[in-house]
Amino acid sequence: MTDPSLDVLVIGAGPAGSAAAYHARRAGLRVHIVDAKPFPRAKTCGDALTPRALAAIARMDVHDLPGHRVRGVVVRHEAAMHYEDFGMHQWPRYGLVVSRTRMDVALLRRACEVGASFEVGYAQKLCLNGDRIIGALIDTENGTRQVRARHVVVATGSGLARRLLGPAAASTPAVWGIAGRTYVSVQGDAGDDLETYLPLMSDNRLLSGYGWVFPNGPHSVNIGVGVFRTRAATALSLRTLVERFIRERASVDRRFADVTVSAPIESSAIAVGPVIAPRPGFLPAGDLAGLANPFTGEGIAAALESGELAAQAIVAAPDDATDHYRAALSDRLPRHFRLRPALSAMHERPALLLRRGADLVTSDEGTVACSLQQLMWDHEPRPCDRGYAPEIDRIVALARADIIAASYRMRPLFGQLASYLMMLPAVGFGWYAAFAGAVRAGTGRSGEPLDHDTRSLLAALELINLVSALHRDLPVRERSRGSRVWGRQTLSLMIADTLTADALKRLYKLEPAVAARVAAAARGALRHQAATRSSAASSAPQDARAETDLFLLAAHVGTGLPFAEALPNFVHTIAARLGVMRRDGVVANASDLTALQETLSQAPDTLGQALAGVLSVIMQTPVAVGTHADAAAAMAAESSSIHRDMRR
Amino acid sequence: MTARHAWIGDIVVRRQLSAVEQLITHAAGLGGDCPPFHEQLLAPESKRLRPALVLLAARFGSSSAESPLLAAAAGIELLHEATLYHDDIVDEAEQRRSRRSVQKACGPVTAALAGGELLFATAELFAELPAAVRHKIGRAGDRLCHGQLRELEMLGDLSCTMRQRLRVMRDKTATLFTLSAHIGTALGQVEPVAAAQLVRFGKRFGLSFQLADDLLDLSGPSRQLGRPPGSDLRDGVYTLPILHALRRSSPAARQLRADLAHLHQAPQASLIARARTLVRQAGGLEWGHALLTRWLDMARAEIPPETTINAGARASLLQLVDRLRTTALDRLPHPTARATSLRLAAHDGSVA
Repeated sequence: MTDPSLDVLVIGAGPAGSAAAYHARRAGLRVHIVDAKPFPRAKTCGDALTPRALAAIARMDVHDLPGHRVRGVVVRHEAAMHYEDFGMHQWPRYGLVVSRTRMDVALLRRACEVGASFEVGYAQKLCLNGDRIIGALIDTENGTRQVRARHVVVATGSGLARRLLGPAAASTPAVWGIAGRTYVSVQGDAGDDLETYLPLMSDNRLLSGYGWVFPNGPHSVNIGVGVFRTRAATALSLRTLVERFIRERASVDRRFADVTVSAPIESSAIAVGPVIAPRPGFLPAGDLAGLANPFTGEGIAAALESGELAAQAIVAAPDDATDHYRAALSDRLPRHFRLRPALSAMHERPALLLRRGADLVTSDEGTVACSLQQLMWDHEPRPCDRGYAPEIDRIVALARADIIAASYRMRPLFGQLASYLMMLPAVGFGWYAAFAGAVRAGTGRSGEPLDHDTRSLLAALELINLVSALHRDLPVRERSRGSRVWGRQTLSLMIADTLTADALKRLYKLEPAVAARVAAAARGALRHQAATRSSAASSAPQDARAETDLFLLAAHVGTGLPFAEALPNFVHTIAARLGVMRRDGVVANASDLTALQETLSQAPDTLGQALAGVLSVIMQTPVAVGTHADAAAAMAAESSSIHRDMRR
Repeated sequence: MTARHAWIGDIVVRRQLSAVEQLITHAAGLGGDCPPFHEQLLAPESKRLRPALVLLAARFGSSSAESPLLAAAAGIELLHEATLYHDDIVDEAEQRRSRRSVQKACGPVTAALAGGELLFATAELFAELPAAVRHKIGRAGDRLCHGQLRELEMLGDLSCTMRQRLRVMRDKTATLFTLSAHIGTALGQVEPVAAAQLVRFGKRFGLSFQLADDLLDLSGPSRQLGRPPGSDLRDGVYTLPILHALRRSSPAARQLRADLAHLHQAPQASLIARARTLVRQAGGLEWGHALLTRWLDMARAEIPPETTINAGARASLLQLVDRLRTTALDRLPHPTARATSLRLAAHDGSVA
């Protein structure tokens, strides 16, 4: 006996499932939700909602959840501290500690209010038709039946549900964090910040994890411990850890002086790593898709957003929902990847940083540490290269994707960091790719497919810039205990070396003459930076010109002409200006701008416009194609440094 | 011809090494004065082992095309030096071969940039090599990164296994020797059987090189090391001899395990000294010594048989092995006469 045709079957009525159901229903689809438990039901959790989570809840039209407001997160690592101020995050700029029992039922109720149906049922297994998932076998108190739907959103949590997923389950075990928590009443004010404490010790061994204190009322807190399951942590007693953490807090924190444990210590597991990949007809959401933050284990915001994105993908592209979903996840959650999940590798690295990278979790000094903080707190991706014309943006996006993929292969953490790295304005990602894209567009070649070598070369150029930026911004050594530590400096070097190795591999695949030229320009650019920082050395002229050469190479790629062919003067002029900007870290001033605009007027119309567009984004100021009338003014104001650079 | 190449019996290779030296000097100064951040490149104490291996391996073949060979040999040395620039930043090393390290002399930022520069310089030197060779070079770069990363990730992890340590040794150290042999045999057009043997020689020698270094850290005097003795113990790098000692069930081994946990949290010179002693008492040095001997014998066995063209090169490779044996072993305390039953089969480096 089958149900009349459903659009969406949602398995699991937690935050991800309810969000998916709500948004699908609001778009007019027929939605049915099943969950093995009747609601309301409890969940072992930190109970903390970030602003991002609250924003997602608001989009479900759920407001005024009963809970305790928090202003931010205090991260304490021994003597160091970091304060993550929710006031600097997105709306509503505060967080909330609310019992999952209350929250989950409120979200489910909302989904049902807009017309989703709900039933208590255990999903036994997914039903397949060839390659496509077409529904599931559900056990209810009224018997077992097959529920068919055009799309199945599975949001069953960290439990992996192997039986359910059958062939869709990952063949390697998921990677776990385990958490234990309880509720205690405190003396005086519980506070209005989320608090996390590192490091966590067990028998003299450093664990990968942290303790937390989340106030859930004026005089009570959710207190617990979360640990990544590494070899060191397998023989752990969570109960002991939680009790010890409470005692430790009691010894230094007046709130816990006379602690009353109001509830038993409960534990649960969290999968932190890409676990299940989407397949036709099947969209995994929430913890099942391994979306929990690899550092904090926090998964509610990602769960809500993934449910929403799943629904949107189903609505926008009913025949192609999984691909849309995959792309959308990539955009909104840059740290989420579906590339060859290397589960334990992924997990060990954030764990490693929590165990030994003291300053990394508390500092944002330097490019890498800054990116890591953005990653840890799941900041909204905000690429600084917004505003390019679509065909140019595409080229930049390809370079970005290539670099993320390559970094991810070395270490998933590096791939995640790379995506945030490339968003930092100081890094100036994408200039070469955009310049090449503009030349392509301006010479009418945007319609031509981008061949593999060209794509690889552009990625190599961008990698060279990333490496240079990382090395130049190498952070000061953290407090050294006389032994090698995993800190900002080490991580920065390691990522830079990984990116360098990838750039070199790309060069080795290119035609030798081109490879040699790129290599020479790259080394010149790096050597220049080393020389200018070294008091005894001075930079050779060919090194000072190296950045310009990198831009010229990008322009060559854009024209599709052989590299030996000369480029028009105006291209040289613009490349030189960009080269100086990159090399010296200076932005153009008013007279440079006038000169540039005059230069652009020498270009054929379309090319001039395309270049002007790219320059506007790079310089963060409008650049228009000048007229010949500006020529006189430009000549007078023209920076003589450009001429010096061009003289060979 | 400089003294550092005197051990090489093959006069052709000696001459070639001088030419390689000039290429390296040029890479440092690019026609001008050598900048302070590349002075380390020109240090006469560098033994140029890897370029030597490139050239020696090529001598087993029939090709006489010299220019790509010299460029490749110079490239390998720059690649090696670049890793040292960066390693010294990570280790906060103030000395390298008894001179100031680049990071100490010029600061970590300059050292990072200079190391990066050298890496791209290698691409210039390798650009004209056959595609297959370039592909190997690219993959070697990945392995170097992997090795360094893994070693860092395993720091202080007392549960790490010998297999894991072997893999790090292979990736971090043996890679460049294996690559040198690959490049030399490819450019020299060495026939396949001999080429495979030379590559295996490179791997075996590379592993031995690292093991010798590890043994020296445990027992050598500091002036020989150029860095404080017992650095590995202090940093939490558990080398093969240490791992062997830890697996024993003696009191020394138990004490060592306890000490190492403390050492990594709070290093103290007295604890380091005691740990070194404990490793010896638990038999780590003796075992490591025997393993090194075995590995060097295996390396020797891989040197292809003598023919009319390769006598000089062969002799030089044998010299290379012997010199390593001498440097490492003669300064160690003599092993006891008791034959230790070694489960060497499990540790002959045949990790995939």
